[in-house]
Amino acid sequence: MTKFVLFILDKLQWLFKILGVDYALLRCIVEVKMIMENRRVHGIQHNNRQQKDNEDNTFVKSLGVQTLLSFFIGGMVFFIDKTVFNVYLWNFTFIMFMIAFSMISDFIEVLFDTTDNAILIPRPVDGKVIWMARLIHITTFLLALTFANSLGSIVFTFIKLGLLAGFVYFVSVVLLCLITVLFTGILYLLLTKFVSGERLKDIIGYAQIFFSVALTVGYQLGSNLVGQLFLVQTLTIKWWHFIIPPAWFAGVMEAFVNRHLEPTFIIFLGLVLVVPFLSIYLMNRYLSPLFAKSLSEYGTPDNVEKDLVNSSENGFASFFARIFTKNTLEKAAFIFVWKITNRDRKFKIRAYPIFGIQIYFVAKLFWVENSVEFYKWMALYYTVFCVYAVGQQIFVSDDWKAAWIFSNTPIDKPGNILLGGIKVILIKLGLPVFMVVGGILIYRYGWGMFDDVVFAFVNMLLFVGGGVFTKRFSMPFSRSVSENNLNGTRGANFILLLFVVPILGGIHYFISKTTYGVIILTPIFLGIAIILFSEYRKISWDKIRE
Amino acid sequence: MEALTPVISIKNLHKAYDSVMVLKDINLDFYAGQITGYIGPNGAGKSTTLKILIGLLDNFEGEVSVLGFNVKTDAMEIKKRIGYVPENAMLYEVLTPLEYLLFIGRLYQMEDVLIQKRATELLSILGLKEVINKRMNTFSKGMKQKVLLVSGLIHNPEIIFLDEPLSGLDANAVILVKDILARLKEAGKTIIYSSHIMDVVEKLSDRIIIINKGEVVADGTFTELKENVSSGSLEDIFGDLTGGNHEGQTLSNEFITALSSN
Repeated sequence: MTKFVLFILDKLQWLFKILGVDYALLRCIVEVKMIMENRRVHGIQHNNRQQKDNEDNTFVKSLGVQTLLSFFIGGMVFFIDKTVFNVYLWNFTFIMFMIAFSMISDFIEVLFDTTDNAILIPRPVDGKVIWMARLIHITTFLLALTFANSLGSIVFTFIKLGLLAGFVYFVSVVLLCLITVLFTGILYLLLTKFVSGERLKDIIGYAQIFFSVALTVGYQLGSNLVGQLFLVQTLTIKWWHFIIPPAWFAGVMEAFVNRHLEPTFIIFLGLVLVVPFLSIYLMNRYLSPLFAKSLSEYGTPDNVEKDLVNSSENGFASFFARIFTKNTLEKAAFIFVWKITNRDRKFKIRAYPIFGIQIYFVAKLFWVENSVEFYKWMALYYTVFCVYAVGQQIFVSDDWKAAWIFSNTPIDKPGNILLGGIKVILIKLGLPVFMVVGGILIYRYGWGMFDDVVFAFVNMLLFVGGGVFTKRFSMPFSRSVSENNLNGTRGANFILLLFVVPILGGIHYFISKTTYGVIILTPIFLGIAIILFSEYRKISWDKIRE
Repeated sequence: MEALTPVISIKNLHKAYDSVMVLKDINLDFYAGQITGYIGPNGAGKSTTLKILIGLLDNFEGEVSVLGFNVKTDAMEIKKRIGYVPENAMLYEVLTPLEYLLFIGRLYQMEDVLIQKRATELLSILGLKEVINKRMNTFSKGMKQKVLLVSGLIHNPEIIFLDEPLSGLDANAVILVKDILARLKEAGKTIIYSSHIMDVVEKLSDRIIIINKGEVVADGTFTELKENVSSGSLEDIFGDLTGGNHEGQTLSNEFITALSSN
């Protein structure tokens, strides 16, 4: 990949000379950036990665997976009858979404990255070279991603619709990539103008969560959407199609394949041709100086001035700590975990998308009349799984080295610290999510569901309480993310515990068929859960990993 | 020195990592109300000794007691009474200094009111009053070091272990911290001070211990070391004892030659 990019750059030397960029320096910087990029782990593989520091090319592997996927997505081209516009609208939307997702999840860090400024600015390197290197870095990888996500569609378009349509599609995806980069860039610039450094990172964090959730739900709902799409055989252009780029490109495909020459399609063609090139001009003329300015200002005291937070002890954390904790250590851990989970955007990005699929199960309750029973149980017991899975994230942190403090302070019963942290997950996440899901179920099926919701909640307490039988424990925020992913023993525990959720769900299902089963078992299970939670306090240092 | 009571006692201490011996037969007593400079080259065994003294390592040979407590069996009692500021330690940076110190104080079972009062006062004295409610991820290295210092002292420990405590501090803060350490000594605190900045160790310490390759190679006041080893600064003494002076000259000559070659 690096060699290929450098080869292309070598061929474009003349262009950089015209632009007044020192090519030798540019090539040198781009080469190092590409090497570093190849050793980075990308968002899309975040959950599956095995080894972080392999001397391999994780990006190429990630592209491979996406290329395979693109053939499934591209497969829809074969179902085209007359609805070229509709099919390509879906197709381009998917590709644009994937580019935006990568841009937000991975490459936004490239925009933020001031480390190379620290290395390059003291050296005799022109600012124009630094900017151009950054631009090439982002565009190269996004173009590669774009092709990986569209290769299937390119191939199938050539086969199904012929050479001309294939070529138009190929050019379209390149232009779509440029538009996405520009739009994301403009959004980023607007944000940097109005919010400070940390707040901006928070907003981007929320955008990352949104994209991850949307991706999870999107995969689930995708099949339904495609199914509905092919039922629509008529071509209807709405006003809003003119403001969404995927529709412009879909319009152009429609025009080329079905020989449309009406003004509507001429406008689409105009937008497709003008906007990307206008965007390149605007980026060079206006955005690059603004980007450079925002980067040089980033992290300066003026920007961090507004990052004041409320560290008062009168907030929710202290309020709930007073109610739910029994001793100083538990209280310390409760407030500590509560506040970090409130603020650590990496925690939020890891934790909240887990709830994404929950939206799908809940949505199904309203959309699918048949098999409602299945989705009802899934909605309830997937919540149990989510709370447990999110709970695992409180042991992981980028600041895991700060956990030295646990071994340096006189904590005689570390179980109290664990229990404090677990209670945060139950109260801050488990309870509200159960209230929402339970509320929806009660709204949908009436108050008869109330005791089932309560029993499922008690089962969640029982399940989390059962975690006390785990062999090894960690203090909150004391493990690195990579270590967490590599830990086989914990994985085995996790899988074992996963069997318990369906068992609890199964018990619930069968006793719900009896008259008083749920009412009788609820207090019994609650009692067991309380006993299990009190057992946490007895966990000693020899069960805590170093 | 005979009249002083040892607060830390190390007898025949040996420690090996795998088969590599990092501490060889260390015998030392530390006394109350003294600042002891504990210095040595990288890998000499300083951090290992400190880790043993604060109860982080218990797989060693020998007898080590702190304030009368055995470090192998009573580590918790020791931790209650000592403060430790490690080198380059990380903080939970999404928290504010006040929140972080509240957390630390609670781990020492301190009352919230006292932690809040003490943290606010100490941070203010160190010039962090304006940022007391700001997340630490925007802090400079020096600011974080000040928070670390306060976190090691907030429970008013009897013995204080400091590993490069002046790292990242500006000149005024260095003067202030040095003065604070002198005042803590006057108040009867025992301070074990590890650093590579010889100048500060020389001026601050009542007693200096030099460790090299796991062995104590010098122990005494600065005046005693000058009489016994060499007459220059602590840097010269250190260089003589650890081989740095001779090696340093040879290497610097090689460096300059390599730099000017074509």
